[in-house]
Amino acid sequence: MTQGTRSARPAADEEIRERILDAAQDVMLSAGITARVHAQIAERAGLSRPTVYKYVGDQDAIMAALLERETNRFFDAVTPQLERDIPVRERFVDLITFAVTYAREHALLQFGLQQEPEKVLPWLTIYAAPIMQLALSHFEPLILRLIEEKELPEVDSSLLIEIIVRLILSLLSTPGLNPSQSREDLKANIDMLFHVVGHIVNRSD
Amino acid sequence: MRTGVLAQRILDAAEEVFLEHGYRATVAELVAPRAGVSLATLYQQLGEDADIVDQLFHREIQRFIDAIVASCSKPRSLRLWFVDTVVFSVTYLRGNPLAARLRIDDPESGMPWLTRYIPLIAGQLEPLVDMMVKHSRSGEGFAQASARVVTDWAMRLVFSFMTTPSAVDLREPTTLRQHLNVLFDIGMATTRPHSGSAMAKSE
Repeated sequence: MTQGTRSARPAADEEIRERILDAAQDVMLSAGITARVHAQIAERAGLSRPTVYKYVGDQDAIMAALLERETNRFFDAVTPQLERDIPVRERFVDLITFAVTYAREHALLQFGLQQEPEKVLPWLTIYAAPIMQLALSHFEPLILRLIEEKELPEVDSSLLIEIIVRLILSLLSTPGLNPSQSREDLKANIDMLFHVVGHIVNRSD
Repeated sequence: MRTGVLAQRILDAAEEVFLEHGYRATVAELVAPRAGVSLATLYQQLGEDADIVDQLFHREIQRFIDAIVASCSKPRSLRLWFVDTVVFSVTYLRGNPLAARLRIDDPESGMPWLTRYIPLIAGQLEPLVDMMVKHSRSGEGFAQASARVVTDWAMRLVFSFMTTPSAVDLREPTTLRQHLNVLFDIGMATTRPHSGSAMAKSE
C-alpha cells in the first residue's frame, strides 16, 4: 500500500526524509503546529534548507508527509486487532478502544488539539476525507480478505471502514456526555453501542 | 430559554443577521436595530454579557429536540429507535438553514463550536431514550443499556454524518440506513468466526 511509494526511494533518501520528519515533530511540539518553522526544522535535522526542500519540500509538504507517516504508523499499530481470534464484535470494540487510546497518547496530536483546536479539529471533521481515504486504501484489502475467509460477516468493506473511522474521529474530536477518560470506561461505552445495535437478533435466535 | 415575546423577536432578528452575515457578525449592534429595539433593551432581554449566537442556537436546539420527540417517541425496539433517530436527525439538520450556514460559511471556526452542543442535545434527549430503554427492557431483556451512552452515540453519529464527508452518497435516507446496518452486522457477530466456519465445513 504505502510501502509501494516508499520502497521506490533508496534507503539513504528514506533515512533523510525520516530525519526531517522527526525534526519537524520535535520543532512543532515546542513552537506550535502552525508556526513558520522551516528553518528550525532544517537546523534541528542538521541539514541545509535546500536539502529539506529537495527531500520533502516546504513546510506544508513536511506537514502533509508527517501526517501521512503518523497516520500509517497508527494504522499499522491498529491492524493486529482485526485478526485476533476472538468474536468479531469484540475485535471491533477492542480496535476502537485501542485506536482512541493510541491517539490520546500521541504527543503531537494532543498538543495540536489543545493549543490550536480551531486548526486541528477541522482535519478530524469537515476535512477528514484524506484520513478516510488513507484508511480505505490501508484496510480494504485486509477487510476483503477477512470477509473472503469468513472471518468477518459479508458487509460492504468501504462502508464498514468508514463508519469505524467515524466513531474513532468522533471520540477524538467531540466531548460527549461521558468523558470516558479511563480505558475501561471507553471500552464499556463502545461495547454498549454494539450491544444495542446487535441486540435484537441475539434475543430472537 | 428566554420565552418572552420581545426576547423571541430579538432572536428572530439575530437569526436573520446570522443567516446573512455569519456568526462573527451577529453582534448586538447589528441585531438590535434589526429587531427594532435599543441596545439597552436587547441587553435587558438577553442579559448583559449576552452571547447572542449561543442563545440563538439554544433555541434552535430546543426546536430540534422537540422535532425528535414529536417524530421518534412511538415505542419501538431500542435498535430501531436508534436508527430512526439518527436518520431523522441527519435529515432534519441537513434541511436546517442555521446548521447549513455554520457548516458552509465558516467551517474552520464554526466546527469546534458546533460540536460543543452535543452534550446539551444528548442531555435533553435522555428522558426519551430512557423511555425507549425501559420499553426495550420489558420486551427484550435489555438489562444494562444506559440512556446516556445510547444518546451520546446517536448524536455522535448524527454530527459525524453532518460534518464529515463520505465516500458514498449519503443524501438518501435509505443509503444512510444501509450505512448504519453495517454496524449492526458487527454488533451481531458475537461468536468466534473460527468455530462458526469449522462447523460449516464439517457439515
